[in-house]
Amino acid sequence: MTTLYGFLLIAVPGVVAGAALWAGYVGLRSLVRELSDSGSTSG
Amino acid sequence: MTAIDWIFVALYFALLVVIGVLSIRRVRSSDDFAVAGGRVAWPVLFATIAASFLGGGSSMGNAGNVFKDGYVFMFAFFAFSLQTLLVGGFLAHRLRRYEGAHTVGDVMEAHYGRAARLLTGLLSLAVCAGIVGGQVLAVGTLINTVFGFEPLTGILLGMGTVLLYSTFGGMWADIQTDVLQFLILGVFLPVALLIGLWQVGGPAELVAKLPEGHLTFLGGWTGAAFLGVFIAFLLGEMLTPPFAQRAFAARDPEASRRAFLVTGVFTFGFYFVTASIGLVSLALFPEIESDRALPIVISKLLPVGVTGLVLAAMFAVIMSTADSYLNSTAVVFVKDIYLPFLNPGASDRQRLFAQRAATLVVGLGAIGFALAAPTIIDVFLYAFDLWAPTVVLPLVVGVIWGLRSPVAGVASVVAGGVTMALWKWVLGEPFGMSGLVAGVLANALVFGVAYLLAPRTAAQPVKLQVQEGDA
Repeated sequence: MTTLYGFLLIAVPGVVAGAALWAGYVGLRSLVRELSDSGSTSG
Repeated sequence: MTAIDWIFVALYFALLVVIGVLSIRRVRSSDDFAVAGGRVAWPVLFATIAASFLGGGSSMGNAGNVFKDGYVFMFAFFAFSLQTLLVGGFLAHRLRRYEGAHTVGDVMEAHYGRAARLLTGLLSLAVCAGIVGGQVLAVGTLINTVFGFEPLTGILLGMGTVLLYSTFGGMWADIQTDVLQFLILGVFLPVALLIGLWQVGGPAELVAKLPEGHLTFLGGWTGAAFLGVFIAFLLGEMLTPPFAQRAFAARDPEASRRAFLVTGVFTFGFYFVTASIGLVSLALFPEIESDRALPIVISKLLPVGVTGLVLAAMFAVIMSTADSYLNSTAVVFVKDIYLPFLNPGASDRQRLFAQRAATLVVGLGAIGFALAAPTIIDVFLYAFDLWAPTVVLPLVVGVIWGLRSPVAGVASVVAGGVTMALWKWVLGEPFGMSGLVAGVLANALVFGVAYLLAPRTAAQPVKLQVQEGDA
C-alpha cells in the first residue's frame, strides 16, 4: 500500500507538470501567433 | 526570501502587466471584451479553464482542509473534477451553439424570459463577489504567512494588478495571463510537493508521521457530511459565469467539449498535489493554522530561487481565478442588468463606465465577503449556496432538452433560493441536511410541477439562435 502511495506521490506531480508544460507551450505559441497576426492586419 | 526570489516574483508581475498592455489593442468590440471574439482554440481554452478553476480554494483551501481532516476532503473536492467532466460531456458543446451569447443570463432568457435573465444576472454578480472574496482572503493569508506583512498589503498588490489588466484588457487579457499563470502553477506546485516530500524523508516517513484516519476514504467524517460537501462542490460552481463565458469563447463546439473534458481529468491530479502538500505540512508543522498549510511549505521548505518561483505560482493560482470572475462581473452587469433594464440606449462610453463601476463594486464587495468568513473554503460555500439551488437545474435542462417555460424558470429559481435561505439561516439545517441540498430539491420540485402545469411558451423576444442539431 505504501509502495503504491509512494508511486502516486511521485508520478502524479510528474504528469501534472508535464501536462502544464505542454498546454502552456502550445497555448503561448498560438497566442504569440495570434498577436503577430493581429499586429500585421491592423497595420 | 532572498534577492533572487524577489526577482522571480517581480518578473512574474512585470510579465502580467506587459501581457495586459499588449491585449488592450485587441479589444475592439464587446464580443472581444466578453468572449475573446469566439475564436479560442482548445489547448488555450484548456489552460484558461484550468487556471480559472484552480484558485485559492483548490490550492490553499484544499491543502488546509486535508491538513485538518485528511484525504477525505480531497475525495469530496474531486466533485469539481466530475462536474467539469459532466459539463464537457453534456453541456459545453451545446452552449457554444448559442450564437451571440456572452452570459448565462443570455441562455436563461432564451428559455425562461426576461425575469429569469434579471434573476440570473443578480445571482451571477453575488456568486462572482463571493468567489473573488475567497481569492482576496487567500492572497491576504499568503502574503501574511510568507512575508509577515499585513494581509491588506497582499490584497492591494495582488488584486490591484488583477483589477488593472481585467478592467482594460477584458477577456483577451484574462486568457493570455491565464495561459502564463497555468504554466507556472502547473509546473511549480508539483515541484513544491516533491521537495516537501524529500524534506519529510520520503513517502514511508510521511505515512508514519500522519494520523491514521488522514489516509482513509472517509477519515473522521460521516457519510452524510461527505455527501453534503460533495453535492455542494458538484453543483456549486457548475457553469458559473466565467466557465459559461469560456464555453462561448471556444472556436467551435468540439473545442469547447474537449477543453472541459481535459480540464476535468487534469484537476484530479492537481487536487492530489495540493492535498498532499497539506499532509507534508502536517507532518512537519502540526501546530500551525490549517489555512497556512501550503504557504508555510513555500516559506520554510523550499530552496533559494524555488521559493520565488512557487510564490509566483501561488499568486498565479489566485489571480487567474480572480481576474476571470472580475471580467465576468463586468460582462454580466452590462449584458444582464444595465442594458436590458437600466439604460437600453446606453452609448459605448456609458457601457464602459458601467463595466468598470461594476468591477469596482464587486471588488469591494468581495473584500467584505472575505472579512466576514472564517476560512477560505467557507467563502466558497457561501457563494455555492447562492448558485446551486437556483440557476443550475433550469440552465442544464434548458440547454440539454431545450425546455422553455418562463413560469417554471422563474418559480424554480425563487423557490430554490428562498428554501436554501430558510433552511440554512432560519431553521438551522435540520435532519443533517444542508441548506444547499434542501434548496436544490425545492428547485427541482418546483421546476417539475410548474413546467407541467404552466403554459410552456417562451417569453419573447428570444434573442439567441440555437443552431440546427441542438437538443
